[in-house]
Amino acid sequence: MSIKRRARLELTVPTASMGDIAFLLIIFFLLTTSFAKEKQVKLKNPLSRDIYAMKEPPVFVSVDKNGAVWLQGRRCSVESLEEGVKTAVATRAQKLVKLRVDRAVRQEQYGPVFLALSRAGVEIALVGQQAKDKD
Amino acid sequence: MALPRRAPKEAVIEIGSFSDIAFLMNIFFILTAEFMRPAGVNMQIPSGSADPGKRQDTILTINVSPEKVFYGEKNEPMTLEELRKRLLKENLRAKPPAQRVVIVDAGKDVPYERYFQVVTAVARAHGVIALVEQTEKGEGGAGGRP
Repeated sequence: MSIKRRARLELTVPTASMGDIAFLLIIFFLLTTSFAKEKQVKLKNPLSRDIYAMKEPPVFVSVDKNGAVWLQGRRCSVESLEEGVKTAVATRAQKLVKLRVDRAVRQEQYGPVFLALSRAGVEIALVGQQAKDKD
Repeated sequence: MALPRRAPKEAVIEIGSFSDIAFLMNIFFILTAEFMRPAGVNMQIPSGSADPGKRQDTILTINVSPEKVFYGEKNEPMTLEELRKRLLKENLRAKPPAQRVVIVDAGKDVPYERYFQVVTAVARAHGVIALVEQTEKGEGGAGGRP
């Protein structure tokens, strides 16, 4: 008597839900990502021991190593900074502006920026880099 | 003669490539996303006009030079570590906001890193920083929001 061969089981990996997982991940990234417009402004952050992790403010001002002022990733003059910042924060509940300044910039260049932000009536979030052993 | 009926074609939407697109988008987001939170301090600026006379109402003045920090009316030279300890002793946290005002006056040649270190030390000690506007003669005047 001949014994019947069993049909071989086909091995399959269920991939139907992979697309769903991928789309869920996309939704997560879309909700959490803030595109780094300020990356184009190259500068070295100052070091300090007295800083802590903070929430990313939506409006940002940068002063690069040449003393050039950037508002939301676009070049602007110190004279127009006050009005520009006022416009940028006008629709926002939190009047907080992130300020990044190159560590080597001299007071005569960053001083007017601070005053312009002060006149715009915003709170300034100073951003730097955590130092461990620096004085 | 009866013609055989064609079996109706089933309409299907190809969704096999959707997950590929989704994963490509994921890779894009992973590469462009920034998970690091910035490190810094919130700088409180007192309200008031840019009037040098206001300096008398404030409790503290810190002059900053590229090398040293000069503390108080007597311009006592000190390092940043000494400044931190001194500010801690002042116990600014317990005082009302009007008495927590600290004028940080930096010379024109002071690099930002030096100013930043002093300002962050003051902010950490709960000081309210008054900005100084440099005049033509080089004399500073305490300023704030108009």
